[in-house]
Amino acid sequence: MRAVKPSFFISRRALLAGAGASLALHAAIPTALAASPMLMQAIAGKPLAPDFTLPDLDGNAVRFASHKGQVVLVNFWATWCPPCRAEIPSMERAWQKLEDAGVAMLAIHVGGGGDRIWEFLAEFNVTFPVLIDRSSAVSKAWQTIGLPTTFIADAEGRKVFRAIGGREWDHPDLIANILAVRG
Amino acid sequence: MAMALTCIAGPINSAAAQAAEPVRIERDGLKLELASMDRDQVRAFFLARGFPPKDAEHVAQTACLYRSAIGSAFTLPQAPSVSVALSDWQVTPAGGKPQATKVREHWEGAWKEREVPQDAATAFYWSLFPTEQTFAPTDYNWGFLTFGLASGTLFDLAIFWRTDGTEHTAKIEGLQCAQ
Repeated sequence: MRAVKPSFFISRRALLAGAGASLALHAAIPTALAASPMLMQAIAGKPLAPDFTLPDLDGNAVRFASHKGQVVLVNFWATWCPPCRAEIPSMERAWQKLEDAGVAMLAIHVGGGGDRIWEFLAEFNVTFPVLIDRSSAVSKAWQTIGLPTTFIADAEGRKVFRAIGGREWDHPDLIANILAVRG
Repeated sequence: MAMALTCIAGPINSAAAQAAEPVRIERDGLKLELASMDRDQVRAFFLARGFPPKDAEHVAQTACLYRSAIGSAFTLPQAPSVSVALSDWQVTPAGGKPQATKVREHWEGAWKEREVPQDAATAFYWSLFPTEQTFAPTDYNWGFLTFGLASGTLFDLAIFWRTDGTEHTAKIEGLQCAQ
């Protein structure tokens, strides 16, 4: 007999939404996520994050090291990844709170995406910076294994927290933890 | 040390029923859900990622692709980590011998051989569940599992995971690749 538990699974409809960027997102994830505590894993030893330079959507080069002195939320995602799609609205809401507090945010799209990225960002009214890691070399250098994965880097560019899988990024616990990294 | 086996046998009266009802397990720190993807969904997903039609068809016909979400069921910060290595998992087709699942590294070689466009191969890599991953409490990952069986094949899946060095296992019986 199969066990029946609250689902953290991705609905078939959400997956198909990822197959074609023009379809709306209807994911089953947020309800389950909201029921879970919002945790990030402290990274032992706070290793220095690898520097990178990646293009933004307008083709401008953005360097990670140029954010030295700021806490930076670095999110690795893709338009076709259902939990990434599910967490993006909360990330935008978090950005509205974090930007004024001096925290930077870099959402790194893994792989090519072309116009689908634009369509996706417009659909969710995303205003935070999005970069493109077409070869996924930066994602691998940051030891990202699956999507989404999010890191919090401190003002010295060291990785201090990691979250694997989607979160509700505007949850008060996460906002407080991110702001606390500022010291 | 292996823990006691738990057999979770689902109804196997039809593939359609199976597709409608994901397999769910929550035990010994592991949270897992998986469900078969029908071939039209597989074709649509990979064509949208830039796969040439013949290669999207190759996936649809040979991968036996399941969507999955796997992670830690623990919710307390001090709880142990949960490690999953797909290379330990075993697929046993009905009347056949146990074999390994097809992981990212297998497909990387396959796409090079078939000269699949790099963007498509990159998307495929990231859409698969990672070969090995360790989850902190509440962490989870999403990704496809590929069992490398022909369409319609009935099979059992033995899964393994570790919590702080303790091995756990479960057997999921009566799965079927989409027809």
